[in-house]
Amino acid sequence: MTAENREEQEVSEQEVTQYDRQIRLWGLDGQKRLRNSKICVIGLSSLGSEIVKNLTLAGVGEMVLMDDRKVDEKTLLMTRDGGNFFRANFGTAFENRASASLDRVQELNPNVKVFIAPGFTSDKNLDFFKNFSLVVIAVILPKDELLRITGILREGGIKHIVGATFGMYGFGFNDFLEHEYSLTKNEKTELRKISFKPLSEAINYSENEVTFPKRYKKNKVRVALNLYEAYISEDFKAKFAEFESLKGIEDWGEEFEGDIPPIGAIVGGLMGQEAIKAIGQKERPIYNTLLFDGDRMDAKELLLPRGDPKEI
Amino acid sequence: MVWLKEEIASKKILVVGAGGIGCELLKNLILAGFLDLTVIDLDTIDVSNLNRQFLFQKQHVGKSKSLIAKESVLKLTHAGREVSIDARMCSIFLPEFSVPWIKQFSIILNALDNVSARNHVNRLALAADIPLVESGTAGYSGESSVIKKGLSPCYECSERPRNKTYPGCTIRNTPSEPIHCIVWAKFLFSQLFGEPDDEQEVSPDAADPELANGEAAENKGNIKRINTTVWAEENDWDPKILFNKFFKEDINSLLSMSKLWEKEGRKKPSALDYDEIIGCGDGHATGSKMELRTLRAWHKAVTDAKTRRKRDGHLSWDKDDTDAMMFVAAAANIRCGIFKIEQKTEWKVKEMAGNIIPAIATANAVIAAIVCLQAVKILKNNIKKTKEVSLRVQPASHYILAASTFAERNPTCVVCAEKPTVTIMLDTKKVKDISNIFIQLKKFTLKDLREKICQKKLSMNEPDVEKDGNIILSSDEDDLDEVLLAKTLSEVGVGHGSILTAEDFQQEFKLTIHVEHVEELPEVDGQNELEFRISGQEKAEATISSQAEEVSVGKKRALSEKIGNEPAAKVQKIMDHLDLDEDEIICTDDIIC
Repeated sequence: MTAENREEQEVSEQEVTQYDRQIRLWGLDGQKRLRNSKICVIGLSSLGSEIVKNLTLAGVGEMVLMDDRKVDEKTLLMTRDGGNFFRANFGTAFENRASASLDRVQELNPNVKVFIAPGFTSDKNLDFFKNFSLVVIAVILPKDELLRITGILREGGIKHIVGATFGMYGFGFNDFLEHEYSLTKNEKTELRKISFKPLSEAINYSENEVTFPKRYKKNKVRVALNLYEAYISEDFKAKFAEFESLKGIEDWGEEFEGDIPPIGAIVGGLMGQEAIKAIGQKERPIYNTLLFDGDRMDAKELLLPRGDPKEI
Repeated sequence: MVWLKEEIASKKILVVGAGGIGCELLKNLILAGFLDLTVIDLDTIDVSNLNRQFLFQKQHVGKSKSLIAKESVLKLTHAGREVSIDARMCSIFLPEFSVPWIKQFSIILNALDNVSARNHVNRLALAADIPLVESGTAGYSGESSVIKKGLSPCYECSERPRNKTYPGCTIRNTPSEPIHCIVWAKFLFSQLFGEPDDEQEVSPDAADPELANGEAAENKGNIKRINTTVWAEENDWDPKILFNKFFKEDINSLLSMSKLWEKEGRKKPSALDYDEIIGCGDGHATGSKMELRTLRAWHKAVTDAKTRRKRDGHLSWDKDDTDAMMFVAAAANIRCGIFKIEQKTEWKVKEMAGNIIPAIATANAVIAAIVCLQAVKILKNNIKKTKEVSLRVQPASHYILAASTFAERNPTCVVCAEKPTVTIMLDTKKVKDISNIFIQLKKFTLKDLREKICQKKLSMNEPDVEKDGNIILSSDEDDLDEVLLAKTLSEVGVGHGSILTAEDFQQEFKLTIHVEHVEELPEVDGQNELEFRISGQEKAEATISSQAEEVSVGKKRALSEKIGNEPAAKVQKIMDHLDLDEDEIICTDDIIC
């Protein structure tokens, strides 16, 4: 089926029944955009599987899973598989995470066509990505590779979200290119437009250039920016060690390696909703960076490289 | 994957509700490594749950939410982990879920969708002194907060909006908005096919106070109260006979109450005639296209419901029952047409009739995970680090997820104050006025005290009421005979200045009621007079010093940790609409018009 054919697909009566509670929120037009969308999620850790779950339940057209990291015996026994809750407990050893997740993802919603993308980002180019409506990168990639992929997506005109969690913290970055959306206030619907910045520009900041409202505590900003830097740096693990003393994590045991399930669920829920905004073109998206602090249990929006997101 | 240490993971946790938040919450608890869970839910799975309640699939529709949730979530347990989930398909209101029973848990996590159950669990948690994490979502928004006796506000410290209510005479005589016709149509459905109660009357109401002094004396026809249910059955639910009764004869009766139509701006209804609309079989219909279409919808809806009624016995209203919905949409739209009110699509009628609240996977996932974080903080003895958290559709003051410390406790809360007290103003003496058959003032009986005040307003389950040490109303079913319940308050010695004690044994909740006798209550909204009015404890009166201190400490914390310009009270306010119950009947007799 070609992309053009998919565009023709109306929302069926069966879908209206199943999606009743969300169509009442974003309308039939929003649902139609979702059902005609094709999503690629890279990375099936806790964060990635939460995003996949949310978008599959919402009824996207196609869901393509990419993660060639192995689910091995040790992962199963030590349960250090990154909190992916799709994989079966036994019998999936030595499969990669994407294929181990396939059946469970499909079970969530038979309306969605779920596929596995073999391999990983390193062997993908524009040819692979060009038919997607949205690509979600929910895995830590080396900086060069991250910039290569987001560069390709920009070039191909494909909206994308990049995110990760670290201990009690989570981070998400939206690049929805030239994004149009409608906003309904007091029963009046307005059309609006935002121009997003590419990741390559967003990471090109200096700490002093970023303006934050006064009430943001300076140290909080430092943590946020350091995490951001850590995220895109090549030696994430080493840098992450610096944050081990961050508040809140001690509640969750001594091992900081891997994902804390509710943190993945919160950041995956927030990013999942951003993905739905990107596709459904309803409500204002986060412009352009989201930072979640699991100790304080809040999530704020900030604009990188500089500026106040309120100004859009 | 990180998980919790054994000492935390082994705590007993009660999850109330296995719906939108419940499914997500159970997943988080299992993935975090919790080992001993109990989950209660009365409900069964519906197709419309599947867009977010990810532990359920199509083949589970109609099955128990709690049992299927257990079955599905156990598949997520880590190898070698022995998890115990006690899943119960029942109501949290059951007497077995008593305060001593609640005490076995270290924490209660609410994942409910209605105020009544939240109020009930709030009381159980306070009485047992077990921390409670409360949560709710509505569309893109959501919230979570922690309730701990003496430390935080309780769930009932702030007034929760109940579903909007409409005066009976607006529904029966003078509808002016689509919702009035929709409520009427729901009642009509119950009258025709279900087991209606006497508060779901659909015929013209001759006791309308707008008809003062028996102006409508000549209109005897509409006074005769026929039993609609019996009458419909006798006529074999003939769509034409039913149509002409409700949309012609009843409308003509209303038109004959001329005083009703003198009010400025009120449009007179126009009666419809089945044969006229459809034409006499010669194809020369005189009805408009719209009338013909709604009539056809009526015909089909009545026929379908009739078939079901004959096959299955009494039907009950349910928003997800297509036949019931079709009937309500058809009947509501015909009535809207008659009263010259804008007609609504079936889709919209369903939303309004079922009081449907949009619900999505993402908001439930975020809030349920916040509940899990709150729970871990509490179990680690860090309850002061818990927050009131609210989720918005888009950032406000840069926050899409905002957290603030506990709001202030309400020292006059009728539930968590040291000595909960309320004052009730009502006419204790009012009796049925038989001098004028058209003015049927309702007397306020012991039954009303039990149902309208103790149960509905004060959220008690099985109230006992005492006056001066004597029981005037018992929760024991054997003592609840109709003769006693029909007595007015003055007949059992309750009058101005009486002090009553109301108690709910299960909730271990006791409340003092001061009675103020008033002949007339002040007007509300310029027209509706309430049957009674309840106000909270008078200020400061019973606020003991230790409480006052806590309040001020709470206040300081709240002030010092305000998030942005967003005080806790405002966060609370955002969520005001979260607590409405789906499906609750939205008409009441508390308001006499």
